[in-house]
Amino acid sequence: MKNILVIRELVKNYGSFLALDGFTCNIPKGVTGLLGPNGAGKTTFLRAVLGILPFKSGSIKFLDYELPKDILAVKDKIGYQPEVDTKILKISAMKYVTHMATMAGLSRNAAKQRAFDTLHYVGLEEARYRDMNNFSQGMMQKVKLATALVHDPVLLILDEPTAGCDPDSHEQILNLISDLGSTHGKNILIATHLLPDVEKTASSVVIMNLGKTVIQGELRSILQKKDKIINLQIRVNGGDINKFAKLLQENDFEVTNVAETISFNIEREDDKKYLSIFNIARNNGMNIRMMTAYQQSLEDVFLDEIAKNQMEN
Amino acid sequence: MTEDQKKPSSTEYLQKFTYRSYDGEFQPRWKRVLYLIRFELISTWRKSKFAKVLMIIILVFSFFSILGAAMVTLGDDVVIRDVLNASIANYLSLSSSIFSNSDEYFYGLGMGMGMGLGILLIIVMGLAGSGFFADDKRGKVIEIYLSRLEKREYVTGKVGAIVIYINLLVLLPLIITGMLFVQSLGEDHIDYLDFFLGIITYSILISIILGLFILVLSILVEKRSYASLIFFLFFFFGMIIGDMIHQGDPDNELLLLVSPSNFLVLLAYVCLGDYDLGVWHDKKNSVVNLNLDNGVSLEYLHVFLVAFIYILILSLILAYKIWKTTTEEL
Repeated sequence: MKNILVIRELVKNYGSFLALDGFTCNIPKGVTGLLGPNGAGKTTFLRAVLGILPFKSGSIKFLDYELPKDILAVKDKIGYQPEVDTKILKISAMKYVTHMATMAGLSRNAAKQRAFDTLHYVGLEEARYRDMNNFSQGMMQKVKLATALVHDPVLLILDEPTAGCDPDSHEQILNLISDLGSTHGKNILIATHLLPDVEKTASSVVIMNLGKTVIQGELRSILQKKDKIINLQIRVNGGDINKFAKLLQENDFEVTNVAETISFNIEREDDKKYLSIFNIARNNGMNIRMMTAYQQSLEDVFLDEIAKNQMEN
Repeated sequence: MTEDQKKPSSTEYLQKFTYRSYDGEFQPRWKRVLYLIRFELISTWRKSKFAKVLMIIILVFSFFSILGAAMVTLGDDVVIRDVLNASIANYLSLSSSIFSNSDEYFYGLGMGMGMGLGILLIIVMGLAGSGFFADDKRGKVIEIYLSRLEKREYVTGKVGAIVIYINLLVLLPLIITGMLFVQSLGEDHIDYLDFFLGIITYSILISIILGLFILVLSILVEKRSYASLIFFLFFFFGMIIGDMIHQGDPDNELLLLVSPSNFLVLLAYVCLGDYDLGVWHDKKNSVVNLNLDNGVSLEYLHVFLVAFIYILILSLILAYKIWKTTTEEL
């Protein structure tokens, strides 16, 4: 998969504070989630890509462009939705998006047309002539998304795109992001604290902490990446579940929980152990109704990796 | 229930109005700066009702000045150029003229423009430009601008807007009035070409100085109201303190430059090429002869030098603030 952004050894400091400490990652085409705790350096990284903040050393390659050398060409190809609410006094959403479209290089007529189109697309067709300073948080997020989209950029950078939204707006924005990524082939980089948003929309993930990459790759493989030990959950019928749990323990299984299901740890590659579970059940007149590996969420991965990273540092 | 929650379906509009790509052309970068200037001019007009009222008052005043200029008849002993210069020079003065090389100052233009219009103009300029950066900072739009524009393009757009705005208030009325004045006297406009060039030079210089000053206040102060208040107070108290300092040592002509109001008047005279301001009366009613080209004390080059120092210092402060914009300010 070709990368849209290639970042190497990026360093950015604010005085003595190192915000980006040799940050290195590849952002592939498609939708990528950028995750990290507060102060990880996400926004600093995004601003460096946009040429808003200069970086001390390292390299940023966007498609075939090198930053900061080709920053003007890059700015035209990136649409940015900042985390904060952006407001201009006494202005309608239509005028605001039109103005920002002209700042991105569209002619007045094209800007008006595009503002109309994108505001329609994000679902603000009826509110577009109203003063945007009176908009709800969800509507503001949509205006910002329309502003980021208005010049039809190659890469959309969305910083906390659903922050402060009510559930309905939240779902709408995630649907828009999915639609842009899957149907319209937009490359999107989402920086967010809301891990379920990334799970729902992204195909790749970069997790960063303390200005460094902690883990990166395809979301599916990251979720599957587990230690040698996995946690299995099984349900039996034809006997007492507590008795079966005790039998497992007697056979050197590490049982972690017994409720409607039994949870226990097992080595991923240990086929004999797998087989012995069935033998134990059969020998005791029980049937295994369900056996499933515990599906870890992105949140589990995130918390594990951040904890590991902080211990290492 | 919010507006968003009233939507019947979260994906209905996706089906109704899908995303369309843009395959049109992108404008050259200088055009974006022009768009920014245009936007700032329009939104400045839209933002402040008080500024609108003041602008209308100024326009009415200017109308009477123009009317006066069209109807003026001067006595034979009046030097037309002196009357014109005095009227132009005192346009932005906060007080009644103290520099006038003609007793006929109150003819025509001077009648309309020298009596209090300067105060209104300074207030309107302050109100207009004080929000240029302050509003962007409060509205958190600097980050959005800088994601599309370079810092120098952004600053150029803001400076361009305030310079044009001030010129609309200064250059346009002065040129129109000057032309009507010359016309009414039956003079040939060509003979007054240097006079009109002087007005243009003066207007551009003061629009840059005042514009940069307003913008510096706008970027240093968070609220537009504070910035415009500081701008006005600087001129008002600057004039009072400047006059007091000069009164302390009236023989030192250089001290005339301390008062911002006097400085603007003197700058106008030197731009118009009028260095011999003749005999005038200071506050103690003693007769003073002020010549800016006699090699003694205050010279016209000093006035230009101070103007350029103002421009340099204000530009450096503005550039420093923009280039060192902190992450909190974005």
